[in-house]
Amino acid sequence: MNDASGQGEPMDEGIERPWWLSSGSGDAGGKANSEDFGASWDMTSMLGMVSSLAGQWWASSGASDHAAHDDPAEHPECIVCKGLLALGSATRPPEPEVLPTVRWLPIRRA
Amino acid sequence: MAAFEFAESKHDPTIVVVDAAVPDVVADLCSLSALLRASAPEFELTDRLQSICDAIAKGRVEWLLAVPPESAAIETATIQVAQGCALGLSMRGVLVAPMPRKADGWPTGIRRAARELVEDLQDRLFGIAVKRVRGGRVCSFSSPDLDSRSPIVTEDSGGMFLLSCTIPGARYCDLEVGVWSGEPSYPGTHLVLRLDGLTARMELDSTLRRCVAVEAVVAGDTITVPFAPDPGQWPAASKEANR
Repeated sequence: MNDASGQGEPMDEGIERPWWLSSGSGDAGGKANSEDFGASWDMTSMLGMVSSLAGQWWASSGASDHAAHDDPAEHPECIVCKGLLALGSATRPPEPEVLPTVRWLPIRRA
Repeated sequence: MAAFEFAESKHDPTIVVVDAAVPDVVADLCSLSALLRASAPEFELTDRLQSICDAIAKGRVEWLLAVPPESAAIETATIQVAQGCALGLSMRGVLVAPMPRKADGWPTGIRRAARELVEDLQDRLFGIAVKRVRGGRVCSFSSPDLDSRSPIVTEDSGGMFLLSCTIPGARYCDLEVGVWSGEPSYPGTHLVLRLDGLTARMELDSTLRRCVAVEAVVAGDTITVPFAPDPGQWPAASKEANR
């Protein structure tokens, strides 16, 4: 009995191995499947490259040091502090809406 | 002792005995309802409290006050009725009970004094049904006419608007009258009455919202507030006046 992971009994020679069982050493099944695997690898590689570039930009921007910043106003070079100051959320809470108090009237007894 | 009663004619009334000042209970309920609407609108309790407050505002909850024939209790009843009317409660009446009876051996002087206290309360609360038990039996109270207690707005010859309302027992209360605005664009959106520490708000109509309250004239239980049109709120009228 074969299981889905292919770790059970060996598959019959006549049955084509699914592409996802290939070891990546060139013994992939069909041609089309091999191309799909290559496309997937390319996507993984590209994502890794993008995340690496993002990490480099994050490090060069100084934002990685933001965790040690107390007052955003003292760190204008930090991109996170700069953003918080621009939003105004870092320095003050939202202003509460102040409703007028009751204006008591002079009473005249008739 | 006081009692709530549903005035819904299609159903049997539900009577709830409240061993506390009904104006205080209602004021607390409405405050709690407003607080929950703002802080926890998703709670089931919020909807329930809102429905109770709506029923009170629409006069579907009536109030019958029971008071003994004793001078301090009469004073308290007067103030509570005034506070309840200011809150817009539907006041069915005041029942004075128990009365001292000859059959129970009460002397004539005490029985006469009790009857005089009832008459005094009737004078204090003009417009409110004040009845006493007779021979141990309770008289019936008819449903109140809420429209007769609604504020009236008139316009005098000088272009001033006069808001008048009569609150039975108001002359026996420590009274303050003010204006409060819930919308900054208007000088006032509510008339505020404070009777012996209890604050009641009365919503102003669209005309009075565009006016400025001048003073409060108190004659007996009737409070009249003259409102002068705010020129900033009546641009067309102010232009005509300048011509």
